[in-house]
Amino acid sequence: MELTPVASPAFDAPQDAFDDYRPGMSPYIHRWLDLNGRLTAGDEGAPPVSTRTEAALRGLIDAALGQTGGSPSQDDLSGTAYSAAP
Amino acid sequence: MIAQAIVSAFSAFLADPGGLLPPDALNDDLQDNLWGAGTHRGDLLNDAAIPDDPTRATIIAVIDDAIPFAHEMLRTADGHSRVAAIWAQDARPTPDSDLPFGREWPGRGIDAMLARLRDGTLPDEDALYRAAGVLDYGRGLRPSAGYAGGHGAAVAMLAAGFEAADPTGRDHPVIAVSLPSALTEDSMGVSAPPYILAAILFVILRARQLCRHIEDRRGLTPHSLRMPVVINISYGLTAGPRDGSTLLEQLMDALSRAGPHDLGPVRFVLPMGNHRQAMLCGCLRPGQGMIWRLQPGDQTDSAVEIWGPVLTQAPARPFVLHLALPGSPPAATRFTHEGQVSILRDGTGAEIARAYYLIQRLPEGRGWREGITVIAMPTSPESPADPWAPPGNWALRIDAAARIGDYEISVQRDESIPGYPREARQSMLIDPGYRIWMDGGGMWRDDPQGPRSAVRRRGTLNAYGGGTETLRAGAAEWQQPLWGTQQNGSIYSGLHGDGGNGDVQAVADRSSTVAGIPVAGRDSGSVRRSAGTSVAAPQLTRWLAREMAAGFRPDSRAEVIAQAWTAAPVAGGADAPVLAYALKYPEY
Amino acid sequence: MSILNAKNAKNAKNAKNAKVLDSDGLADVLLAEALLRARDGIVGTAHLTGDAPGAPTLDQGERLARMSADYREAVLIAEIFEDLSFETDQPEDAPVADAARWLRRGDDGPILLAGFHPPSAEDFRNAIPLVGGYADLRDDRMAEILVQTQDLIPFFATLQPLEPERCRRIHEMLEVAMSVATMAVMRIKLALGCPRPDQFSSRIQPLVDMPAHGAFPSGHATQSFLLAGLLTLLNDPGARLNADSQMFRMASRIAVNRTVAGVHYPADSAAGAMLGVALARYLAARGGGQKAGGVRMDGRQWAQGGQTRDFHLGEFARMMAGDDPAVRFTAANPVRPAPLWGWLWSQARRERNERWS
Repeated sequence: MELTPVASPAFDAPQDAFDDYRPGMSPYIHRWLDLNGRLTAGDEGAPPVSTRTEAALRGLIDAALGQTGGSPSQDDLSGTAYSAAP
Repeated sequence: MIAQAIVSAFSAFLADPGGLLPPDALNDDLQDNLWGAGTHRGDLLNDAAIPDDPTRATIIAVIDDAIPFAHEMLRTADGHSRVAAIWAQDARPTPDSDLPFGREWPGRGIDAMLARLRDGTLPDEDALYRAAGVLDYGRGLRPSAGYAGGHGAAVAMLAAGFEAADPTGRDHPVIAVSLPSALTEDSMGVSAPPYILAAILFVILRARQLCRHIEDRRGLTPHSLRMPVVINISYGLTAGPRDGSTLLEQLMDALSRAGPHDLGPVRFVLPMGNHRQAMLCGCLRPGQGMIWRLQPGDQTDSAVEIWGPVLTQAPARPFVLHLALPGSPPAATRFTHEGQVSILRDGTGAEIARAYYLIQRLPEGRGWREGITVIAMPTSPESPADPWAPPGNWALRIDAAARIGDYEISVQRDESIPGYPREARQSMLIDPGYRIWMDGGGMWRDDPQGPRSAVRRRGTLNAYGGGTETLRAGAAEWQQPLWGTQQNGSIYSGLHGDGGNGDVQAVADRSSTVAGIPVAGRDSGSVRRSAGTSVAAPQLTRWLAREMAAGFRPDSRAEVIAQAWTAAPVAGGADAPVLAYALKYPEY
Repeated sequence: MSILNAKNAKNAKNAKNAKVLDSDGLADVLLAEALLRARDGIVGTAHLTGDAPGAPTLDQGERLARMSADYREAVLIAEIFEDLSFETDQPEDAPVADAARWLRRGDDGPILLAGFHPPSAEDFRNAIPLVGGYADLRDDRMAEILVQTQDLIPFFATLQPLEPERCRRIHEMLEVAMSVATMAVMRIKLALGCPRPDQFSSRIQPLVDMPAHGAFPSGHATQSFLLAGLLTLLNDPGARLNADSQMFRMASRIAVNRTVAGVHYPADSAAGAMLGVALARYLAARGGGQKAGGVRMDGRQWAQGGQTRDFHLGEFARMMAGDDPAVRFTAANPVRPAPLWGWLWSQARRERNERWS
């Protein structure tokens, strides 16, 4: 009987895990979402639409730290502090 | 803004309510005035619980699991709550709640419950917590609020508990947050940051509102009362870059450097962690390797993080990690840019593990660090059809062509917490050169002199604790060993990279043979024994709150340490001051 | 006091019939049967005559040494109590006494050995919060509390060498002394009839069985301070009893453990300490032929101005220094030597002095 050789373990070609990766994004969270089938199929890494919970937390930031108005989604994600571009 | 960045980083996770919060903890009926923000909060403290001199008071905040807010050590002499607000994050919301999830009890609400306790309509404190909605055995959550000896009880009373008859207690109003019990249950603890973020910001918001309320009741100039806040977070991780670059570390540093203008200084106290001897941390150079041992019977993922040296510019090419499963030749990662994931498959194509490549930017332009996180499947799946990873010795090696420098390896904590049965098993790093026992017997308390093992005791501090402003509490023994000159505290207490046992030490163990100190249980009058840096941290919190109430305003962590030296009795050779342990009764 | 109970069980050997029915007893019957048969086989006659008697040569002490330990102890206790008497101040029709005291023979009649006024019932009640507070230490002290319901000597044996094989007479001396202490303290407890902490509150919930006898003075404190005092005087009969010593640290800790367990108030330990010290001095004196003084403790002055008072080594030191309005020591007076007890005491001293061999 022929024994079929088993291939050694190998890493797949890498894929982008996060759409628009920013430092602080957690591989554990990505893994959890993947495990629970929560990553949007067909549009890898695209985050689902913000929910009330996320909006509520952004509102808490404004309330607690005294900032009023402003668009919470944009100004924190831009700027050289978080730019990953070489 | 860092806080916004945390929310963004976790936004995908927050979008799924099936994460850590049970669906019935979400508030489906959000009010306009979310968080009760922008309103005057008159329900925070009864007048009788307000400090006599609010300019000589410090708010103590506790973020923990199942904090027993009705405990008699959190009451004034005439039975009013010293807790201005407590947020139970996974409790069912009330119909008129202004929080997006969970339930809040303001101080006056607690007073009403305490009145019912006094007049007998609530027979005991257990009934009070059930009526308050924080204890419900029918919800399918871990009922940690029912445990007789809970973490939150011990920590909260050490940090902020005072005998009701002691007037000093009123100088320390309490703001508390009970994190979701599922968070404590998660053996890796990596899903905590958004909830800790929310807890911290809740504390800040209510602290400001409390200052405004006291100004109102005492006729002080609006926005003139700036009570300081000391926030105790007795939680930690074992893996991470430990350089202050994670979002939570940056948030804590930013709030300590410059918080809201109408609140006093904010300080954070964290435990050093209990993993000095756990063989979870090590260091490799390019070309070097070590063993990552996965335990059999582990039903949860295992993870290890590798963080490269500080680089002066963003790396052009990711470093390569070689990973060999037991009995197999090594597989090499082939990342091309940050934010990628690569699945490690076995010969049949099933996923055994995955690796992520990340780049961290250090604050204040200090540089860049590359990171690879490897997450392995359970070695013993819950169901036979699930894939699993082989237990045993996995070989990690940094490619020889990687940039010169130290690659810090740390294994993520992966253990079951008592009261939270999950079949988690802690993986660990193995180096044959690692020495556990000294020649004369006894365990090494620090890395031995001489040729260094790749696996280290130094550098095992809490991975939340890498910032510049947070205070990290080490555990000390009340009676230090008489032999040798090693005075670096309890044998398990995490160490800084330079071997220091935290910034300030507090007694968490009676001696090297008798672990633990007496701590409060959930129910008033109960006493348990507990050890660990989690009981050292609240003692530091308490001491610092007392100092700040007396006028101490440290501009830096170093000033806090210097102040602790002036207070500490000299412990020969100790590298961090040891706070005096308040013995209530004489030994003989 | 279960230490005494254990010894009483041994004294039940008096009723040898009790052994007949157990497995040892069966062997005894067989032996008796065998001896009977053997005598029948060789006695040869029913009519006996006696030999001429010899004269005794050993004195009482030497003959004491030849006795079995249990009966020797009985003789020694009796000898000690020859010189002791007990009296109370008790108004007619009152169920309990206001005061109780042991007196001992002096040159011109009985003089005070140890006398006590108990605290008032209100004083005991005021001490309840303190007893409740000490419950915090129960987890910490549990091993000691449980062991100390049976044994105290092992704790002192860690402070100076007391191996039973090398220190037979020392052990015997300590056991006799502890029996004397038990008798002395129980008589006072009965006369004064003081209530136990769990009678004032259902939340004391003591860690061990509450004994059936009264609270004040504490028997554990009496015995542990007696042991500390005797072992100190055994080393040097002229020594001052110094509170700042490992012996008295141990005694204080043992006494305090009873408050931690919820079975005693601090005042009980204070009184027991005084009784233990007085008995130690007295027994050492009767053994070595010196003088000894007495002590008077007024429990009504123990708690001052409604403020309840704790007991620990620092308070013991204060009492011994004569710095406490509740305590008066009387001057040392000659004691009548007890020859039989003195024999045991000198044997114990010899063992102590031979310890470097």
